[in-house]
Amino acid sequence: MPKGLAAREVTVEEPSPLRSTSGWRELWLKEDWWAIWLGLGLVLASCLFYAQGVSLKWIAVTPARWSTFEQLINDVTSNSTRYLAQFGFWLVTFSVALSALGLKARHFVPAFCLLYAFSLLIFAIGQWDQASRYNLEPPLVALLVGLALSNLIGLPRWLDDGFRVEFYVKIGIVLLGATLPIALIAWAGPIAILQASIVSVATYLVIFWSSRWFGIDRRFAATLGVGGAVCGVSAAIAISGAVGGRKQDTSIAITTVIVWAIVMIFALPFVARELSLHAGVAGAWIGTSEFADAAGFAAAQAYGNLVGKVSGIDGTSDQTLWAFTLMKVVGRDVWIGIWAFVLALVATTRWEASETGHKADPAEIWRRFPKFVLGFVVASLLITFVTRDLTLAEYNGAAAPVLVAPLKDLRTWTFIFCFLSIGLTTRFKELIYAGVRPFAAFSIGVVVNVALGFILSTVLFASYWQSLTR
Amino acid sequence: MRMMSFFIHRWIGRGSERQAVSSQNHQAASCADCRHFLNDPHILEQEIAGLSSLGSARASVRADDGVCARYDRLTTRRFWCREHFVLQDAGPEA
Repeated sequence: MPKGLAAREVTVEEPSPLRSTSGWRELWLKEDWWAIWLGLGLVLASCLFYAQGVSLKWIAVTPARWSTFEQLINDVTSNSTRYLAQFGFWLVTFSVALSALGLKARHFVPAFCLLYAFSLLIFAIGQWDQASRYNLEPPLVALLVGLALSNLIGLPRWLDDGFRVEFYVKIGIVLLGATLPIALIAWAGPIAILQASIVSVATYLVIFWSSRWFGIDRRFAATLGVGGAVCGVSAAIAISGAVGGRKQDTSIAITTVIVWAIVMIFALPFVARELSLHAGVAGAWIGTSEFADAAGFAAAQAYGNLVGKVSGIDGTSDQTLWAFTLMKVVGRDVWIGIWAFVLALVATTRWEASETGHKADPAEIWRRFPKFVLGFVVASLLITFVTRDLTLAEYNGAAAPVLVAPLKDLRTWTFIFCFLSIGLTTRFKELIYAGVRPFAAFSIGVVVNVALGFILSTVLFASYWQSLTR
Repeated sequence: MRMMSFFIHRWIGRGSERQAVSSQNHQAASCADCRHFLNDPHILEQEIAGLSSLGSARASVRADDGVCARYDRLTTRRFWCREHFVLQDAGPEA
């Protein structure tokens, strides 16, 4: 009997092991495309409503600011129909998308009911006028509540079908594109790419050579390296596949990334707050030094929420998210295909032989391209086009409240679903996979990454990140 | 893309003897039609700890990668090896 998976019984109902998700099939079999369909669908709907003089605001309901519990109850009960409609909208659209992705609606529906109920609670806590005084930022509260539910109470694993971290964050990123003018992406994008490239290459080399120094195999070292340098778990799985890494090593790399990503969700906003970093500068630093998109958005949103509430922090909350997104998505994520191709090339021609082989293919660059980024750019283009004739004052007065604000509110919902899902799917007992040597090698890279990212964000490119404006 | 691939492989050609296994007949015998190749996202998320926490087996970046049950490695559909088992020929395990 061969070793590995076949030696154990795979406990999946009706597995379809050889299903291809490439080519046109990707349009309905990959969550990146579903994030585009749903995100751009909302952006288009908002544009059409705006053209008719109406708005998506009715369904984009959020809890209002409150100071007494009675105010909160009154707000939620008076808007109960809107909340029910919004819940129904999310439930139906997500059910369709996730069913197409092969997840079971009978698992998703109860999971999403739980997710929405807790998200509403967390959103409401964040709207308390004393929330920032007690550090009750929704991303951090969502993460802690999720971790408590999954690790102290324990939830059945089938509920994970509704806790789709990546799916929710990608929809949020597409919606975020609607708030970011295309001119800003064109102006700050190259700076983001330059800063991110410096840090990514340095981090990769440090982790790779530290790993080699610890006696770790090259394929494993490369997987760890891109996990820290590019886009966390997504990069680790992509590179491990491209270079033919061992499954166990991939698990170790992923759990190592998760441990540090969770730590950074709390550490980066905390240090930024202690240093009273400018909102845009902090966003750039978090974008350079967080290891996963979802975790990074949690950290960036937590810091952005402090702007205007904590004295000494200059800038706007938008600047934190804009700088973070430019750095993480434009500066790091989109290059994963090139990393995969180059490392596959090196693995097949320069490294030691393994049992399997292949020929590096430049088409990998497109195959592995994180397609949701296209939705982010198209959303930005659409809103920029619709508001092209407006002055800044007209935009702020007429367009922003009815065209963009509902999209921002819906984005906030998807991010809370995402942050809560991170906690709900992170089980500490599974993180014991992280070995000592890989963890040590990765940690050396973390030190370099955080320090270099800090210097570039706060000194060399600080003026760019402080001047991100519409 | 093909042109780029051609020049790159010409350039790195001198290292090709170090490739893992012979490329002979590999086009007719890639992982894509091997019984040991499993790329169902359900299986991957069950088998790779943490994958569904801050990542996903349904993301574009994974492309069509799967796990080789023979060697316990992640591979793309375009990998090949000497112990390839074509699906339709799958009989008792060797």
